[in-house]
Amino acid sequence: MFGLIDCNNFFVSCERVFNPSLLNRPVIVLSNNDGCVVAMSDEAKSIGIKRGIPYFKIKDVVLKHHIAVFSSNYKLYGDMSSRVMATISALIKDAEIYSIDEAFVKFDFSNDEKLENIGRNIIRIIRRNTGIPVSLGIASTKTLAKIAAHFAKKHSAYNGVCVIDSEEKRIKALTVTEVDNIWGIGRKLTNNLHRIGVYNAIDFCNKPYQSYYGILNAANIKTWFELNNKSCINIDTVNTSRKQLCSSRSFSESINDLNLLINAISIFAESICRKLKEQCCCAVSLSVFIYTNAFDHKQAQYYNSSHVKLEEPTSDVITITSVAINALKSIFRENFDYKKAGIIITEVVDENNIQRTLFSSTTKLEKKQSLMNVIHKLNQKPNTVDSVHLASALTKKNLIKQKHLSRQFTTRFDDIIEINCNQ
Amino acid sequence: MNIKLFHSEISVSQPLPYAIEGIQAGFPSPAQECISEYIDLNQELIEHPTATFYGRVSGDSMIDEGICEGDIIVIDRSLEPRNKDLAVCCVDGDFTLKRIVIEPEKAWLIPANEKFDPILVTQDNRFIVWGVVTYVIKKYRRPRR
Repeated sequence: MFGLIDCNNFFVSCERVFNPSLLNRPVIVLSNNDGCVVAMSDEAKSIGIKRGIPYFKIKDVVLKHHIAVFSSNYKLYGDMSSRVMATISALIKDAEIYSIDEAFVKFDFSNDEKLENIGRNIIRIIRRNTGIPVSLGIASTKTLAKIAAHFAKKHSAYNGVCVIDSEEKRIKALTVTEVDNIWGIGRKLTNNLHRIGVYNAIDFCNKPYQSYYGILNAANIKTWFELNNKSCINIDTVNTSRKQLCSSRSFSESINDLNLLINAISIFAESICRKLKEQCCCAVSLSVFIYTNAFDHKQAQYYNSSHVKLEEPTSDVITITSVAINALKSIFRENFDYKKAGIIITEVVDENNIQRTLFSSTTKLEKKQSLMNVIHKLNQKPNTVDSVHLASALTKKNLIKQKHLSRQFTTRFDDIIEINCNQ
Repeated sequence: MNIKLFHSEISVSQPLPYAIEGIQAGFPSPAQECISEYIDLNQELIEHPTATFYGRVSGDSMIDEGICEGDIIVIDRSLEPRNKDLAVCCVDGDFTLKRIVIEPEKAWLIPANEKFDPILVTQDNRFIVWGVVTYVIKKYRRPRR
């Protein structure tokens, strides 16, 4: 049997662990730059706040309902996520971290104890040890487990654990699940399915998969089998698919000066190189993009990106910065107000798996390596504004709007919780 | 006398070598040479790293237990609270540090300062034992003015 452990309103829950006065209060978390709502508590959902809505549009609602607002504190969420994942891995041998707030697990058949009881114990321990409330869906396949987890989260009667372990329960669950809520079925496929009259998961998997000629690809057929109780997607315990590395940001005020964009791009390059280093891999190719504010119809619009294959794979901050700046220069056009810029690493390889070019000089590489180490070390020192490489005169503080940032309760000593002994 | 000072690297964990034989007065044991282990306070003091959090004390309601303003407390959330444990509790949305006395249907939060009264917690309060305190870290040498 497979399980999906899903943290409830994860970003909000992280804030609540260290600020218990937020319990039972509507809470929202904003995207980078305080632009849009990226997470909200159940209380905020019931007021009608939707994910993705721009913050400036709901400022009145926030005041009226006394909603607590937070800038996204990714250092805190990242640390809490790794605590949750480590707790899960300590409880269940086969665990796969699926995203910042989700993990798939595999249960042994040999367990005589009722799965529901095991599940309840698991979510109790995660909640107790980390403070993060989670839901758990259990079923015979990963796709069904994902549906079960959705029920466990949405309906309080389940008390956090929903098990689909009989044909009756499977059919009941699929009947009330719409196709666009199935794991692995995207918007395009949903439209195609609607066109042929398939709306619910049960319709989808009752029709033989051969009859979907030209609509389903190989991955979709796996989904079809999984919904029909045949497990095709196993637990992926080795981290094979690295998520795309990307560093980008919407600017709080649009930028039309090339030098300011260069500053921004070098900050992104620094942060991407740190991510590469953490994952022990090197970039093979990258692309740099810039665009204007598409929502502002009065302004002239421009979007462009430049894709560069690096001479040789590297995680070197100097090389990547200069390549990215050159790419930026090639796509920069004057007289536009740029709203967003970023770097995406489009291809990575393992650090140990690099083919050097014929003319690469190792000593040059080593020198760069040691300089990089210094730069990364500087940036790791606490209590200093991140040192920023080369071109950047702007500090990150000027670039990002984070008016409502909570403290780094778990990763910075000056920021730990204060315990009141005044009563 | 000539003393050479080395600046220290503190950005990483700080293993301190110690002699396995223990410290003895008198002639140094030849075994002193095999210093093969070290003390890492993280390893000694933190039993459950993923469930351990730190807090800083503010106020003096626990002063008779020697817990003062500014002390750092190590909190282990994975421990089931037992009667008379020192614990970080949340009462009605606020963190507080007290000894907990658990009784049927209610709990008492006992301060260690005669100026403060025990706090009675019933089902009407929003009460959570946030974590059990395992260590208190106190700085004795204050910085020079």
